[in-house]
Amino acid sequence: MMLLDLFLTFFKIGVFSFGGGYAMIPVIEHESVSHGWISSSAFTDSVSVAGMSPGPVATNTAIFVGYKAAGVAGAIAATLGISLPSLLIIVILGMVFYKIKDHPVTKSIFYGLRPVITAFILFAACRFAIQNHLVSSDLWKSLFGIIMLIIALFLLFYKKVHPLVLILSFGVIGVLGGWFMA
Amino acid sequence: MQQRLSLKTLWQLFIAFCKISPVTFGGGYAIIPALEEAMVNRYHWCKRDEILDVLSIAQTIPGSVALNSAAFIGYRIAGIPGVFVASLGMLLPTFLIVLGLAVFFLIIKDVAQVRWALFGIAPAVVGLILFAGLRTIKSSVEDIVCLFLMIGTFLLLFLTKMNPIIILVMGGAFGGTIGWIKHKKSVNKEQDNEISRHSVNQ
Repeated sequence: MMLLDLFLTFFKIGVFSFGGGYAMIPVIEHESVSHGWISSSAFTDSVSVAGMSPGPVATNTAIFVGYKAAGVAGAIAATLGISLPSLLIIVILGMVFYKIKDHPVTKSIFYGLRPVITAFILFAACRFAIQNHLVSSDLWKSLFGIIMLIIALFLLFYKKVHPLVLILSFGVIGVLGGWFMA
Repeated sequence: MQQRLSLKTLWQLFIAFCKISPVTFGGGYAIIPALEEAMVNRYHWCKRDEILDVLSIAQTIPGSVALNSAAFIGYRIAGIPGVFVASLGMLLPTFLIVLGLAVFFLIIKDVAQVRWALFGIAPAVVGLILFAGLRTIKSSVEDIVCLFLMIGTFLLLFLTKMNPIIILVMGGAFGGTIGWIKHKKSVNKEQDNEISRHSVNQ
C-alpha cells in the first residue's frame, strides 16, 4: 500500500517538523530517498520548484514527492500526512497552549531544540549547494555559483528582495548564461 | 471567544484563507500582513495583538507557521469544524498550484533551457535557505552550549548516515535537559537571594 506508506511517513515527518519548512528538507530527503520514491537529484529539483511556489516549503516538497511516487493520489496522501499532526495538536490541546507556551519545561525544550533546528537549516543549504554542484571540481561553475550566492545573500539581507523575484531573475540569468555558452 | 457556529461563518473562514494562501511565498511570515488585513480589519475575528499570540503559538507547535495560524484562528472562531475549514482553505489553493507546477516541471525538466534556469536558480535557493538559517541564529544560539549543540548537530548530519529524526530527537532531548538544569539553577539562585534578603531584613 504505497498511499498508506506515503501518508504515514509524511505524518511522522509532520510530527517532527519544528522550526518551519527548511529544517525538514534533510528529513524529507532521507525518508523519500530511502523509500525509493524519488532519486537524490530529482529531490534537489523538487526543492527548487518548492522554493519558487507559494505555500510552505515542506508541504510543497511533500506534494512533489507524493506526485512522483504515486500520482495525484500520492500528492494528496503526502499533503494530508504532513499537515494532520499540527491540526490534531491544535484540536487536542486547544486553548491550553497559552499556558504550555511559557512553561519552564517548554522553554527548556526550545532552548535545546532551537540550535538543533538552525543546524538542520544550515545543513539543508550546504547539501543543496553540493548536490547542485555549486561547489564542484569545475572551477568556473563553482566561481559563478559562489559569486551568485553572495549576490543572492546581499539582495535578501540588505535589499529585502522578494524570494520569488530573486528566483525568477536568477532563472533568467541561468538561461541567458546557457544561451551565451551555446 | 467562540462565535455562533453557522455555515456562513465556516464559508467565510474558508474563503478568507483561500485568499491568503497564495501569498505565502518563502515561509509563513509573509502571511502576517494579509492575515491582519483579513482577520482584524475585514472580518473583525480577532484583535491586532491576538494575531501576535496566534503567531507565537503557530511557531511553537510542529508544522508550517501559515497552516498552524490558520488552524488556530479557525479553532478560536468556530471550534473543531473551524480548524478543518480554515486549514483546507489554506492548503487547497497552494496544493493545486504546486501540483500543477510539479506536473508541468516533470514534463519539461530535461529541456536544456530548463536545466540552465535551474543552474541559475540554485544559488538563489541556497541563499534563501541560508537566509532563513542565519536569521534564526540570533534567537537560537543564546550561549556557548547552544553553539556547541548547533555545531555538533551539523557535524552529525554531515558526517554520519544517521536518521535525521533521531538526531533531532537526541539533540532536542540533550539540549532540553541542559536548559532544564540551567532553569533549576537560576530558580535556586533566586530562592537563595530571597532567603538572604529576608535574613538581612531580620
